[in-house]
Amino acid sequence: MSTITRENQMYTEDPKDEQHMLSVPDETGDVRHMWDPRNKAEVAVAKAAFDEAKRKGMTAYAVDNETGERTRTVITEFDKKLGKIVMVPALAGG
Amino acid sequence: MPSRIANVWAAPCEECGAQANAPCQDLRTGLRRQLFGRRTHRSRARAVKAMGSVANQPQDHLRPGGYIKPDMVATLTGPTGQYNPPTGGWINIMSTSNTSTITIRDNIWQGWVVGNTTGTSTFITDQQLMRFEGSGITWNQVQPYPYINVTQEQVAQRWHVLHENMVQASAAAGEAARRMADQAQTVREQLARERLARQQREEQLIEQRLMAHGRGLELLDMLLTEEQQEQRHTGQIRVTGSDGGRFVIDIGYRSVHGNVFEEDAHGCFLGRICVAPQMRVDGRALPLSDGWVGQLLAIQANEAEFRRVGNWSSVRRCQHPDVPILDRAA
Repeated sequence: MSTITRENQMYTEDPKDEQHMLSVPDETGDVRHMWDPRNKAEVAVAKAAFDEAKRKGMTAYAVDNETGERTRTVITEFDKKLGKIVMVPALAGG
Repeated sequence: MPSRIANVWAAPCEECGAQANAPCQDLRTGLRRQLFGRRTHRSRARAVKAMGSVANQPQDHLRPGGYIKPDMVATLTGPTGQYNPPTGGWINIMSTSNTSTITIRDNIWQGWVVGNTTGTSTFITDQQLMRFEGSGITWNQVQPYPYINVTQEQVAQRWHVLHENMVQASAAAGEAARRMADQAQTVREQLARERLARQQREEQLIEQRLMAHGRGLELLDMLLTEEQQEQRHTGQIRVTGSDGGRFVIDIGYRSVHGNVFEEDAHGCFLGRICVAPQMRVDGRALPLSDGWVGQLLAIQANEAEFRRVGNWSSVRRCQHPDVPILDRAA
């Protein structure tokens, strides 16, 4: 494992670490908030975006692509350990 | 002065920009048409009336008494000149014979002089010549003489007045025409600017929408398996719901309304369901690909809710219930 420096913090680059992402849809496609669970500032930003999207009535889906079944679960609270969270506006019948 | 003016178009019109000897344009409607008959705009009528007896003459340059243009040369036959010095009337053809030559204005005085001789020479003094300086009128028969011929003096004055009127009228008409041309040009420029800005805005919006749709497709690909990614290029994505249902998201439909249908293990069509995420956030429309992402996640995470919220149509039963389902080849 190699060692990198970012914002005066020392991290150990672990191949198993994956960039955590929160996707919030908008007119440009989507806004993606990346965070490292060890970085409190990034986690706070992602959580604020999550809460704002929830306030607008969106549904949060936790996406796990690593398992064979590609699980999707609906979540109600922000969890910084989740790999990918995709916000989707509320469903409506057409 | 006669009550009826022979040529009501003797002067140019400042209101509509009509030139001399041309009818006025009707400004009351947006159509291009002229005022009927002898009708003119009031300002033009006043200008013509101020011109006096000149306006009372037909403005046909080929006829005796016409308002002669400077560069016009013609040979006419007509009556002798009619000049009434005491009343200040305008002299027509400067000839004592039935034929006369209307020459250019700058030597018409000469023609008058030559044609109106009565055996003695008539001259124009230096003082009279100075009055015409700058008017473009040149005089060939100029000899200083101590006395002034009254008739020549009156004709010279009349020429000078008419010349000034013509110059002023031309200048006024020209100025009015220039103002109108400037206004028209300003309007054309403004319309061209607005048209270009509108086109640029539309093209920018189209480009933004295409980029947003591409970004949504990128997110969709992140959520698909390899097999589903290949299916996407065919226009249909097969998805298994959280409760085991089989759904097909038809992205070739180019919509999020009515683009999902259910099928069974045989591949039989079971019904169409119309359900999608709300496609407006903060008043702005989302790209189609974001809608497909929402449909995919809703089917995979909460199939029951997906079925409950959607509106079903074309519901039917399996057409081949007795056909066994074969396992997929390894």
